[in-house]
Amino acid sequence: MIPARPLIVVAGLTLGALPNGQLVVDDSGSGQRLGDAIATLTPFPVNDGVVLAGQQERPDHRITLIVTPTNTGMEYPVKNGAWMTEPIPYEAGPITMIAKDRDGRELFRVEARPDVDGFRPVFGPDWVGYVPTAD
Amino acid sequence: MRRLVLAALVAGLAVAAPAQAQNPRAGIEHAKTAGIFIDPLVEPLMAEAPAGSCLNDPTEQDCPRVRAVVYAPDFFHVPESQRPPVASAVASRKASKRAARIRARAAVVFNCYLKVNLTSPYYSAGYEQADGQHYCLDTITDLDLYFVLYKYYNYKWNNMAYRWFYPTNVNAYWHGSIRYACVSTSVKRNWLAKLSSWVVYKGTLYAAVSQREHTDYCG
Repeated sequence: MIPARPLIVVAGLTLGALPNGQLVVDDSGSGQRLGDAIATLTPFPVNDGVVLAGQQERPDHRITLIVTPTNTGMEYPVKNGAWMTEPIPYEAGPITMIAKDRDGRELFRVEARPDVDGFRPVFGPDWVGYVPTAD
Repeated sequence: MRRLVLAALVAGLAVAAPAQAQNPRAGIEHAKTAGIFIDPLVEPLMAEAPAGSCLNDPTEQDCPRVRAVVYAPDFFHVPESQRPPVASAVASRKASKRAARIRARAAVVFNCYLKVNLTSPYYSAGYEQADGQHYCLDTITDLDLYFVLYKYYNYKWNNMAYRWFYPTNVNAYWHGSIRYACVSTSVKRNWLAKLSSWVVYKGTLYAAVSQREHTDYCG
């Protein structure tokens, strides 16, 4: 496993950057790599819930707001070009990520459905998606 | 072997750059003759792909065998500024029907994603530069990327620098850059960074493009 340069450390989890710039999330306790955090929003299953992480998509993206079915808003700052939450309770329903600028203005939003799509990364409006999974 | 051929072609292109092959659309005709379905929306992208690439001519000897070449199916979800110049194709009735099909398919989940970073193109340290990223979630069998920097002068976009990438590990995260040494920093010019990619997935060659424009003091 290629060691990653730590960018954010939260509750025993480290969001780091590999030498090629790729963002990854590691469990500092077990030493295991949970996966890539390249997408706008990537959910990772952990023992006691789910951790969300992503990269800074735009220069003015400074705050990430996470909205779950039972929580109307938890804000996470963008640090070192990335953001990550602490483990939050897993629950059925959509998880919405809202990117905001320094003044709290919404830049864009994306939605993940881990209960429907599994823990599939979600790519925001700045990415061009292609190659359909079912064609 | 194919990589060596590509490297040789890139070396050849560097001498002749930015000129394309004599007939950049020849590969489209070759593909149609060979029975490969060619998406009308992808034709402009095929024509401007570098000569010798599998996107320019899918029938090239060392290219993987494919049954179709199609453009990113979320075309109408791509911001206007990022769409390729396909006005003529979209204008036709046939393409309009296809556009309707594309809209219907827009809800599907995609395997691959690319982008020119939002801050690109930008001026830094005497160079006009651009950065891009590409990532696939599922296993693909072939990946090529073509990064071009255009400068607007003489009333048209001019290809000032380009790089052709063919990663060894096609399923790994890719990020790359391109740059052009500014001749003058007292002239303000419009710059366009265009990143094209094409992958082979389950026998089909898929192509997509991401592009961004910016004005900088770089002549």
